Amino acid sequence: MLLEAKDLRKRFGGLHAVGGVDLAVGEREIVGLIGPNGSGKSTLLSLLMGIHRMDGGTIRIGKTDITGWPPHKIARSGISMMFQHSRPLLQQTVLENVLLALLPDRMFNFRFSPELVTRARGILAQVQLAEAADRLPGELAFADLRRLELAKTLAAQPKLMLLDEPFAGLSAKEVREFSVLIRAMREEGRSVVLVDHNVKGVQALVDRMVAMSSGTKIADDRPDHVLADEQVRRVYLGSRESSAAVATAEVRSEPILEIADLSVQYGKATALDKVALTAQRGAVTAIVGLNGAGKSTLFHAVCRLVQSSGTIRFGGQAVADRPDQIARSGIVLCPEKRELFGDMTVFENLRMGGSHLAAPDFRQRLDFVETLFPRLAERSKQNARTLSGGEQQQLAIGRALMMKPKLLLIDEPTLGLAPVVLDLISETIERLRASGELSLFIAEQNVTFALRHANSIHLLEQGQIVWSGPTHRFADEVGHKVL
Amino acid sequence: MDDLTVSSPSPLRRLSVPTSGVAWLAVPCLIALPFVGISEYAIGIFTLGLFFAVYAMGWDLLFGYAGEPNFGATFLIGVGAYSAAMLNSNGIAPPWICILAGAAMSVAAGVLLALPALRLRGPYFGLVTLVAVLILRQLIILFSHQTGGEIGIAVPEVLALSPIANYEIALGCAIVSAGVFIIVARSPFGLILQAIGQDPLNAQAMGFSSVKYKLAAFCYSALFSGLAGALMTFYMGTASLNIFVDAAVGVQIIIAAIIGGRRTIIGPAIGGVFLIVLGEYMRPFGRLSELVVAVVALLVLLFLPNGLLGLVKLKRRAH
Amino acid sequence: MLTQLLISGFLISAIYALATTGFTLLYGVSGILNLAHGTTLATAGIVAWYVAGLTSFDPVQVILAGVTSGVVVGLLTYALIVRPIQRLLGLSETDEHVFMLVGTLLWTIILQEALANIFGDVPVSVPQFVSGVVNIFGVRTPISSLLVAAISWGLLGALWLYVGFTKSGRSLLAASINPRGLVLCGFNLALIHRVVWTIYGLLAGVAGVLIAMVHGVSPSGGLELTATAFSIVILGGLGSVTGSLIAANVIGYIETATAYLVGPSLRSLPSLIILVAVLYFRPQGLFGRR
Repeated sequence: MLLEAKDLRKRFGGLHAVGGVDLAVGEREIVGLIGPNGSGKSTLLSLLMGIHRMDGGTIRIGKTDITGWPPHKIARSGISMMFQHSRPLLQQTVLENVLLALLPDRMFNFRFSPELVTRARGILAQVQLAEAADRLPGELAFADLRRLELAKTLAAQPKLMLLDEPFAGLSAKEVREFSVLIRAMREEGRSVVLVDHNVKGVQALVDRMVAMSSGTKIADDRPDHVLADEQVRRVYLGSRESSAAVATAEVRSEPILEIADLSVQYGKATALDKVALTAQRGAVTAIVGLNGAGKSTLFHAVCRLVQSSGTIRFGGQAVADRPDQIARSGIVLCPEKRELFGDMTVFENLRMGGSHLAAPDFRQRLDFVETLFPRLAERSKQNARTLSGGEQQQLAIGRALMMKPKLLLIDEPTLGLAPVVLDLISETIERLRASGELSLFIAEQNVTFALRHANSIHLLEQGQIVWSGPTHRFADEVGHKVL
Repeated sequence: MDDLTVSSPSPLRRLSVPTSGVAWLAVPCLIALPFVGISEYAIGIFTLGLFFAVYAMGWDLLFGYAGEPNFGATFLIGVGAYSAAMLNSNGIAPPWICILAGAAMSVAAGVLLALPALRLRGPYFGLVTLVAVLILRQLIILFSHQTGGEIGIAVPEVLALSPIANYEIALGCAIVSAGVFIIVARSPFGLILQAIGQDPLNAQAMGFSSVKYKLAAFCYSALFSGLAGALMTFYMGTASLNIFVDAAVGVQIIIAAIIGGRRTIIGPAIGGVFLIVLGEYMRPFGRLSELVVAVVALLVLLFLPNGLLGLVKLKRRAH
Repeated sequence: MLTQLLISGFLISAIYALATTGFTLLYGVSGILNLAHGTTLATAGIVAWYVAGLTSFDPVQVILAGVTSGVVVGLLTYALIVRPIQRLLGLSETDEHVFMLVGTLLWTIILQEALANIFGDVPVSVPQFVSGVVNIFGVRTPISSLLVAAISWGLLGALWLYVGFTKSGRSLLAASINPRGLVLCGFNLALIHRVVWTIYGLLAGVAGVLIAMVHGVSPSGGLELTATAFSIVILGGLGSVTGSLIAANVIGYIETATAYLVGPSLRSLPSLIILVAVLYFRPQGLFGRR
């Protein structure tokens, strides 16, 4: 074994980000690390690189025990990491950025040897960036920037490469090209651990797949076995049985939200590409897709929290320009990160949501929310930051409901929640639908959950809508892609 | 794009403004400057400007490359200046020994200042450096018997009497500093320093231990700031709080660096001379002059955030 | 001696508390360290002094003049310095911090020189609102000083009521905890920032007048006031209003004790040393979060 990590543990406050994980990587092996958002994949990589101090466990590379080493020593022992969000030095050329990664850790070194420059050019050629060597990173396309990061990772001649989301933001064609590069590294005798949300994308590439959920390893096997594993399907894809049980009828009413030609750029990466969709009044609409597909970006664009181009109409009118105006006009977002006021009590959080209501209205609304979530009434005087994850989600939805939304956008309502809370959220969505006073638009990576509630579904892949239609047709027509 | 890099001696030609040709031309011009018939008064102003240029370059190495906002440049300068002045006024050592001792003391002060920089990030570090200046001031007042307190301390000896000789000394100091700073900034060391300044974690994951590089950057900055401070003390004939240990002077140094263009070394040097000359030019207007200089600096900050050399760089890139 | 120290410490602390609350509130809500703070105080004090000399002395008019100039300077700082820097493109986070500090320092110089040109760079004092002394435990204390302490704590009390019991006050608190959450609740952040700067100017205005009355102010004395405010705010924890109230008392007493026991010229040295120790060992301050 090249790498042997045993019983790795890391706590952030009360959260067990990684709770006792074993990971072994052999020579010339590509291991895929999968799992939903927040399952601890990236934290695990950081532990291997020494970026976070471990709370327990041991790591060996070859015969060397590197437990507790600082990152720069680990880097010199044969592990290198490609970060998900790393920025090149913008004032230096592509070549100089690679040269940096080739430099020895010596202070009195005032000259670049020609031999290093030759090596840097060689590495650039390897990732097909040779022509861009003398350009500045700012002039590169997004995919080429990722190639540059890969080149920097390669420069250290690592035995083991840790790649955090190497495919994020890449098109299908670019993903294929990158996969070829990664395979070539295995041919050179290196091993790779890569983290990705794009399960289908990595399935063909990896020799072995490790699935994580809530900080623990739940499967470690050949890719097809892992993807067939019942527990993996349940936490990552949603379980199959319940999906068959529900088929919600299509709603034919006038649209409450109409989106056309909506595009969003994050620097050079295209997050949304000419998205067009509608949500019907009185219905539950769902947008599904893998993490990173652009679901949150879509919601943020609707609420004008990010810059976008295209048109968004709400109830037949163009939406306002500022996020606060939009919130007051009836489109309320319950964001993935919840954005609660941590140092305020539950009641104070709800009161902030109901700030724009007159006193009698406020009372009535508070009753409504507290009936929906009796837990919030019990915890009324407790600080929001001390609530459990499920309670925080209830508070986030409750606070959004205090705004009397006409259209409620809920981003990942079930993310990281225990099954029991999930049922409660399910129930809430059905009760809100039954109340008839608002329309719902949910973004979910848990397709099963979406299928259970939505009247119509949109499937988002890498910033583009690839399928839209009523829920009952989803499983037959595109189910194979996500289920 | 044609491939010039193979033939060019350094692959880092873009790291600083590629002005080496202009620079080689500028050096003889600067040496000849006092002989072209300008007044002794003007020579004196340029002398001060050159010292200021060294301070601004030292600041730029710390902020532009290592990413450490040093609001206490005058802590380093002040330690150098006062060490030299105290040694000389007590008749302990001749001027040149005093100056070297001042520079050495300043390096020690640099290490002291680097310690919090290794623990604190950005604005917090900026505050510590600001406070360091205030504390040094208080200490100098507290030990006023040795330091001259608020009045200042007179230096009995001089390095040279003629303004031209003093100018050439200051110029020598500035050229040597600029040379060393540029070599350091363009070297592998400078590249690593920038990587650490931008993203320390990423730099560590690339195998660089950030502590020693940061410490070294503080030492380089302190060495030349202290040297220039000590030389300037002998030029002025006195070390006083309002010239050498003043937060406001520290801010002027930062302004000089920003006006000239951060991350270019040469830019801050130009900014330093410019600021002193502008201040002198405005002097007849009395207190109004400081107001005007501040307004000019603010306008540059808001409308030319990359400084004068930043403007040149943009133009070059456009071609 | 001890009672003397306790009483003058209390009076100084009250002003310090008032003078730093705006500063720390501003940091808490908008993340801006306003280095022009001391000069804003000085401006209010000097304008109040000027108005006091113009009219037959009327305390209400004098305070109003101070408050108005405080608010005007506060809003100008926001419009001329803070907003333009925030709008600059291509600045990294550290760049923006440094630009903000440098920008507010330049603003300090601009204000200071403008004041010196208009009013002259001499220390000025606002006349005492009331005359007479009372005897507290054997210490002769000017009634005016007691009034200053009363105004300070009264205003802080009013601020506390405002933040705790009004919608707009609560939104300030919420903005300091999670600005994004506040936008999602339908609040206009730009408006909230203008409100904060107005409140800041108001507090600084009153504090400036009171400082001008007790200590006297001068255009070039602004930076020193900023330094004191800084020590207090760092000690208390950036953005923690409660922390800075406590720290104001700590620093107030320490400075008074140093001035009495060691010498007035060194009054700020111990607090600076405490400040460095705090920054080094507990950079979030004694009461800061995070």
